[in-house]
Amino acid sequence: MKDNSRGDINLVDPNYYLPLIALLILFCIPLVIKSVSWMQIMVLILWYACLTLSWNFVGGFAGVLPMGHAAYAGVGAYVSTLLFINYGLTPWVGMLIGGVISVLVALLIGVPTFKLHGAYYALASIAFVELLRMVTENTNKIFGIKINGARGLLIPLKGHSPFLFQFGEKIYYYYVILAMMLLIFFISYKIQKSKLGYYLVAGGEEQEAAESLGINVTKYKLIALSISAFFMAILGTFYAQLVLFIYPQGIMSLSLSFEIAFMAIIGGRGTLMGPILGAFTLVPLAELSRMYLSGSRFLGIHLMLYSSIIILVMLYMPKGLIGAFEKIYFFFTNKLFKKS
Amino acid sequence: MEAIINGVLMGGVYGLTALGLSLIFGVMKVINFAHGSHLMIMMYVEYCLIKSIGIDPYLSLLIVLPIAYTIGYFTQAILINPILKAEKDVREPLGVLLLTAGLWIFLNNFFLMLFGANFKSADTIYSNTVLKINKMMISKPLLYAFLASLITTYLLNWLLRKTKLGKAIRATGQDREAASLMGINVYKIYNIAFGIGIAALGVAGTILIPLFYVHPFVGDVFDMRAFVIVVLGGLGSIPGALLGGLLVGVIESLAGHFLNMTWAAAVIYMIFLLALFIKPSGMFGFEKEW
Amino acid sequence: MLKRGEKIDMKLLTIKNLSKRFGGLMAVDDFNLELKGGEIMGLIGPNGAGKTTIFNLLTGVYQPDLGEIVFMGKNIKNLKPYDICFQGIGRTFQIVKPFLNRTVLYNVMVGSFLWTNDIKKAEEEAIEVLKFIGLINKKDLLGKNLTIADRKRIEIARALATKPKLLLLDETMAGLNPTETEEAIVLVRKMQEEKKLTVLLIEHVMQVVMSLSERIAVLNHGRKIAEGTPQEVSCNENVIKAYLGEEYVTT
Repeated sequence: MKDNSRGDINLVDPNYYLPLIALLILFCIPLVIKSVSWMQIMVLILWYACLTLSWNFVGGFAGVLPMGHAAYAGVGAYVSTLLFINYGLTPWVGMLIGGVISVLVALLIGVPTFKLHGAYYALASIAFVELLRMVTENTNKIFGIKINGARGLLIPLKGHSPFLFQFGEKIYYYYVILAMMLLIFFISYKIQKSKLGYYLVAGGEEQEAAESLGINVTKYKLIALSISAFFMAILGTFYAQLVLFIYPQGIMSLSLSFEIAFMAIIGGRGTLMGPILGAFTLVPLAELSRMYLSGSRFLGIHLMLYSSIIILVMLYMPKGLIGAFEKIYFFFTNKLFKKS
Repeated sequence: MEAIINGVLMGGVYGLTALGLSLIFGVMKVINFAHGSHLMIMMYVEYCLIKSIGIDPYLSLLIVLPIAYTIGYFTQAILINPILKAEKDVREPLGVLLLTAGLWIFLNNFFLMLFGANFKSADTIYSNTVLKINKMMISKPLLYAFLASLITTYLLNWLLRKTKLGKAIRATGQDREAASLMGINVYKIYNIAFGIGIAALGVAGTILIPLFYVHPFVGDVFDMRAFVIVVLGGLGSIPGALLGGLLVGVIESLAGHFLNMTWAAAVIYMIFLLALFIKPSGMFGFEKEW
Repeated sequence: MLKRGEKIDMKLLTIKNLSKRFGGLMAVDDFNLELKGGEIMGLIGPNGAGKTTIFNLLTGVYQPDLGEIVFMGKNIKNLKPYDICFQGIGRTFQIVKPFLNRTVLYNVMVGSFLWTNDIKKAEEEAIEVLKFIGLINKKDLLGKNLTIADRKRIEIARALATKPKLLLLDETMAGLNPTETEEAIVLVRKMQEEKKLTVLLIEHVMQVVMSLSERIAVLNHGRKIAEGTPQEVSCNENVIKAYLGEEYVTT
């Protein structure tokens, strides 16, 4: 979003009221849409937007390519679910614990992997998520706690119980995820305009030069990774509470990791709106194709879509769709601005 | 003991699949994530050939190899070279990485759409035949596959070390600018190298038909093994790929013997991560910036 | 303000017996140097003599095998590059590394963030540095759209923003035309006088080294073969031998 160089809030400036209108629309959507399946799609769109924004901390700001990021969502989902099933701990708290554990895991894997160069890092992140999935699939019990391996875990149905992070209607989930998206977006915005943001960009573009300027690049990448892993875990819990069933191939999978990465990159990695744009354009596309093309042959149709688009994007629009989107946006805002 | 031998044989085959990846990386510094998908494609090609003409896999190599080479050549020329050209000055060409990752997913799911998820198998005269030595049962197709792998590795090594083309390829891999100053058309070499890499997969696909079912995701298993091998054996080293393959094959076989097959896979991944952390350039690879 | 002849009588940097081996090659062999605060010192030598290696050893990119490096009384031998910057040593690189996809202002702000956490303050400081260097009019240009000469100036600006006491310049004058070279020389002098900087510069452009440096050290095959004023060094037998060969030595 363009910075208003004037510094004060000018309600007539389209740079202010267009985003506000967009926000208003987002708030009002559940009041207008009553169909359950469409609401589900909306919730998923926002969920993916949050995932891509979280990915963006590492994949965009820090300049590395994590291709196995769903691992952290998986950690979060499993931690909160296990705590809930075995100890009755409300997922609201379990979510935060999952976040902390996810950060610890991230630091554990981050310290050795950040020493690796681009493609090696991507490979390592892929190996890690696959390893995590395989280990989980093959484990029935850890320390006596039932994990159920590949069969997954069912979250006990409690009906509409807000304290237990379960809601009877999608509309509640919608507002929760919307709030999360705004939070993560806000944090992205703040980071981009802060020392952390500048240092991450520097470390990502020219590590040697950055270090000669006093930047401990690894430390800052780890900070970005921790923030990212924390939110990914929370989003994992959200998903668990939304569908009430988690299993390794679903939440800590390579294909989800790729989906997130592709969406963020197609939208525009490293930018603020890019990941959101990616989610908002690709998820509806995928859901629509799923509705019209069904059958086991088309199980991967959404993946085919994402991957073919990313091939095209890499060939013709490496900076992502956000480039084209910005041109259209500025065109409109300039016209609107001239009018007022 | 039987496990070790099986491991060695299978390892040879793994090494073969990794050859192409190693070569492609050694020359272009590109990690082809879609490697497994190309193997899958070659297996489907082979399968179709057998089903339609009923030709013996090893004979069909005559048809398969040119097809494989062409596919590889054009993949590089049309998809990868443009990005390499655009990212010429960037130290880490991540665009190619993403492209190959996208290609991987695309090809897998595309073939899912074309052929369905059913496991297909093609029988040849010698599928399921077994050789008995002492008390061990060794699958004959596996043995043939191993021999084919060895021969191919040897041929490829000879190509790279003794022929003019091979030297041009190695020169390009070592120093792109110097090579182009010597009159080598760098991008054409890339195309050729990629073609050769996929041709190696063509051989692999052919010899694997009697051993494995064909389905859209069969390539993924080999893909990850290939990455592990290439990292262990050294990116760009042909003998390293074979040795790495043997190592992986044996470890996997032993792990499968003492634990179970899925844990064996997990063990491989763990070793992969350890290898990456300790020595990213592998046992025989070039000590480069990478 | 420091006049050209005036020195802070303090040893800023002391290098003793510095050695670094790469495989079978002795890249730097028993190198000794003393830098006084406020002076401009040149480091010259044929290609491959080990000059950039010394810079890398000083800035923590490599660890020395032997020797001591004492900066402002502190032993900095084993510090990481980012800590060394914090101690007060800045450097530029032989192959310039600007942040290509960011503006000039952004580039310099990365430097100024070392001493502040506030983005406004960082911006103000960066603008000050840009004014000093003379790049203020180009502050919104992207790194990749700059000329070579300007890219070299951003490198210096960035390093300056970290408020160093010692600046290591690695072949900053290479590839500049005569006008740009003159401007660069003026800039280095300005940094010495106004910012009270000590400068150690690696150079191949002889005219620059001779006119800027108060003292010069000459390196060949990793060893120091001469040290002295530009006058002394240019008459030194060993130096002539190293650069031009035996035939040119006149006794």
